Amino acid sequence: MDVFIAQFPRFLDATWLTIWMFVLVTTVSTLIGATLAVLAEWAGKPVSLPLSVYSWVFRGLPELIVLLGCYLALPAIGLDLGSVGSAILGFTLVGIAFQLEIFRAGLNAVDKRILEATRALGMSWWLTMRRVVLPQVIRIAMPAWATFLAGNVKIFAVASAVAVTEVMAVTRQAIAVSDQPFFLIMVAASIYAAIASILMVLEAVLSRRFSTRYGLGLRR
Amino acid sequence: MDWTVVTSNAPLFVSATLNTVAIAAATIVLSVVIAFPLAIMRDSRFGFLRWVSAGYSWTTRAMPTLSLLFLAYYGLPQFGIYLDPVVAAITGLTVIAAGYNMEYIRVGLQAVPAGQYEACRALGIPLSIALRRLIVPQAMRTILPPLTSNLTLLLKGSALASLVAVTELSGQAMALISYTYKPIEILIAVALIYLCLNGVLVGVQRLVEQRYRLQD
Amino acid sequence: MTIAAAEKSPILEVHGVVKRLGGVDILKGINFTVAEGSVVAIIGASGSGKSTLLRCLNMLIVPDDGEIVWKGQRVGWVQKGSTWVRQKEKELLGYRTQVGMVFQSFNLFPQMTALENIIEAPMTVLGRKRSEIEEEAHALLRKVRLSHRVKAYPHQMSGGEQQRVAIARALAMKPKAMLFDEVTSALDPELKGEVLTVMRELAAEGMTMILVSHEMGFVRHVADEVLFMHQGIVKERGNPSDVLVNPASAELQAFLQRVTD
Repeated sequence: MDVFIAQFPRFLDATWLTIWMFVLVTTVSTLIGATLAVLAEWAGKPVSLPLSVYSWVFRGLPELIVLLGCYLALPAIGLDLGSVGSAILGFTLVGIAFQLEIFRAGLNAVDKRILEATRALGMSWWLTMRRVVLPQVIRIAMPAWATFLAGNVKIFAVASAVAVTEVMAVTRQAIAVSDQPFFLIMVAASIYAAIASILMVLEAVLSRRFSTRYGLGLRR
Repeated sequence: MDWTVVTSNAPLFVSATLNTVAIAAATIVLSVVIAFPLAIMRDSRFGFLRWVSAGYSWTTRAMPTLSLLFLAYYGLPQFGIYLDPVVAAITGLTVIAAGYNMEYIRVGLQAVPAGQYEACRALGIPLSIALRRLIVPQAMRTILPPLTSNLTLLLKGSALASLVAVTELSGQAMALISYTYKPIEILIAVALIYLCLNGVLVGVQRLVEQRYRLQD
Repeated sequence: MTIAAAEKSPILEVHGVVKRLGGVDILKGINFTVAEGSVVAIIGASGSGKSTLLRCLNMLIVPDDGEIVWKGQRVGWVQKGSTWVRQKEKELLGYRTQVGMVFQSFNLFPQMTALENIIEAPMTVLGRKRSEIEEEAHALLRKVRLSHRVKAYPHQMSGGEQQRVAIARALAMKPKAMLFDEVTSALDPELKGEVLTVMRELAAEGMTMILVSHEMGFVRHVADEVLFMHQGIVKERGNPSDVLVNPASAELQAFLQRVTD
């Protein structure tokens, strides 16, 4: 307990670091992932095939390997982002791969006959996307997006492996000078569990709201 | 680039790959064994058992996998329990995987029509025998597809074992990088091995899906 | 069969059975007895409580009040000193093996062949040898005219064939009585006949049968007694040639009108 009190400010800083990294990575990877999904859907094979390969690679590799690549391999070719920068880049690369799939599935679920209808009405491509397609995609993709976030925040613990002083790293340093490692690791796990729980509540709220109110859970 | 760092260390890569496969295989088997009773408890008549099982499910979904591995490796010595790194890694990964698997198993058991349970009772078949011989074999067709598609997650998770001093693929990669300082070559080689293993898992998944679709 | 059956002592007695489900009284005090070797048909509109009553008889559903007495012994309760104690599910299994049941939706085990469906319970519950029970299973399949379907899986069989396997599966436990819950309701009209024929033969052999059915022709020819249920009570009962021909209540008249249309 004493260790925890002594280390409390560091735990607080670490929690704050974890949260802002998560928010930044989520925002950037959602925006890029959604844009790439639209590109892949409408630009055809030359774009969608490389994107599929990208997404398969980064969803299949352990996050640790991606982070090590950013942290150790990039400096070898002259690009040193530091530990936090490497972690953010690594998680964003992985995040884009997942967001791409989530939004692609959302786009596929939109009834394509709607595009005929909008063309018949004389709506432009951009107008159709903005007013008709994207609002539907967002509704369909929202539950999967929230599920991904709730499961993804815990992955940030891996950043401790590339010297980012997030919660798990501070814990690792603290247990070196403590005789209560179990307690300290439980504290770290609880901090993550608290953040994840908030996201799980968000997930439940979003999926209820978007599946009942719009009845869009039907098309998968 | 200097690929001799990979070719000259090929035996190390091979044994590290085998360690990764062994850890993942042990985890899947053990986690399914643990997940079955948890899934059955989830719909038990006794509130206490339901509560324990729901709590387990929530905890494992909310806690980082890495924290479970740390608890097993760095935490348990506080109580005089010293686990071998590999055992600690498998323990941590199994606890997490069981939390996910219990949900698939539960869905599978619920997908078996109520009439099947009723027929078993009407024939006087005790629940333990009914589950083992009649209900679970039917539930497997619902359980196996998500279970196999989750093998990918398990393989990715096994990389965390390197952070509790296990020399599986990721651990071997980190060790070799620190001796040789050739991060690009080593990481590309390891990434390719992971992707190949992943390809094998995708194949297994296809086979499972095909087999169960044919039977319908 | 009818006169002889009526003189025998009852094998099953139902006294004042009450069942509430979700605040609704499904059964409001049911009384009847079944003589050994007789056939009792329960008829009535859907929602009248027929299926619930049938499930109470083998304790798939436990009644809230009343008694079910099998061969003179109360089912589901044991006397300890002066108090009655509910039996656990495990202790009921022995009773259930004596009372076979066939369901509207067949409920065959989908991953097993016709033969495997039949031998499963005798093997696992009665602990009998596979070779020994297999011979009986072949005889049962012959009896239900399915000798050619021994190795067929449920999804390869017609509904009528599946239901006949289900009857054979129940008979393999050598039950003393059989419960049939609308066993032909899920079948196409041309498949009902083959199942009803098997049931008719079973009745002629002297099997005690309690059945819920909408097949009025079958009930009239095979049943010794008819119970007409309406809103959780037995509204009319008696010999089918009386009750079905001269219904006393307006409810039974309306019901017969509907099912014969």
